[in-house]
Amino acid sequence: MDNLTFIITISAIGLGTFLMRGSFILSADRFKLNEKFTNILRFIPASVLAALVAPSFFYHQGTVAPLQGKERLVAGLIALVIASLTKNIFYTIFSGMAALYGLQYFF
Amino acid sequence: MQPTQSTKASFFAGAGTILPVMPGIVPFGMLTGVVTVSAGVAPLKAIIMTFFMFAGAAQVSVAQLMSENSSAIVIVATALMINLRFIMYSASITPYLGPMNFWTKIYISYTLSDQAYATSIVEFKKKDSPFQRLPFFFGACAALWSLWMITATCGIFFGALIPPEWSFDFAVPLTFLALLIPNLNDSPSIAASIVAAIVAIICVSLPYNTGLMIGTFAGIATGVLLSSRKGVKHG
Repeated sequence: MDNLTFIITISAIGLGTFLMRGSFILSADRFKLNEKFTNILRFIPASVLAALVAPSFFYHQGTVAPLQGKERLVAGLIALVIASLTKNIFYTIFSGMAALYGLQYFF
Repeated sequence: MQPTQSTKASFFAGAGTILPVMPGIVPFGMLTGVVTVSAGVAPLKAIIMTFFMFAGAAQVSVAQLMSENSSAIVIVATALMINLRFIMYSASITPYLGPMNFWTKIYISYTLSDQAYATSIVEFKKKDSPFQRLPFFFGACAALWSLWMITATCGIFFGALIPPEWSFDFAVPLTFLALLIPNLNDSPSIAASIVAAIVAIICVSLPYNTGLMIGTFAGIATGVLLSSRKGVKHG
């Protein structure tokens, strides 16, 4: 990504985020949240984070062969178990990284 | 009850709310800085991102998507979706803050964060809170912003020292995984995440990472559909 695209992208995100944070602060009473919209908002974190995570466990640097270069998938599944059990961001990262190093060392 | 504390005391009480959340913020700020650089973003650009966005999860997603050569539109759309939750915070906190001048509105619209919201709303819902709300919130926002900038910048410099052979880029999806789990608190949310994951994997070869968007929308649609069918009520 070249520098100009980078600045435009980051500015757009910064401005958009500012407007969302300020939505009710800046608009006073002109804007209301309805129940339908709240129900959509509720599912965004679960969906977008899962869609971000899943492909990066399955595909790394174009490895598509079923049994080769799948250390990241196995390490990711181990981290998933640890994450569900501990709900702790650091245990999750430590277990995932440790599993990846272990698998890369032995296979 | 009328507030009995001065503006100054309320401001510092608000700023003090960062103490209990520090064990979460300090490492997450560091981590955000480290993984941004590990994903291949130059340190100066990472600092610019930290200032412009002031949002950890969105920043990590932008770093990852940039490393995958996603299109600018997909990057902006993903970051904004992750940040949509701020609309809910904005709606929830504004009625407590009362009249504000223009610059205060601008300041809060930049610094409103998960933790400032979470700690302040607890205080505001107390019937016997002695603090003036606007200065209290102002203090919480100021303290969290400062702490975030310091820790994320430290992380950026540490991240620049980590050699790429350490596969530390893998910490990026692991971060998302850890952030994902607390959102899976009922069956429609779990179904939404599974559908989003499967669709994103199937669509991975679509150009500019549009598979991410398709997966996300499929997940949201699944969640909305299941929750409306069950007629589950949410507060």
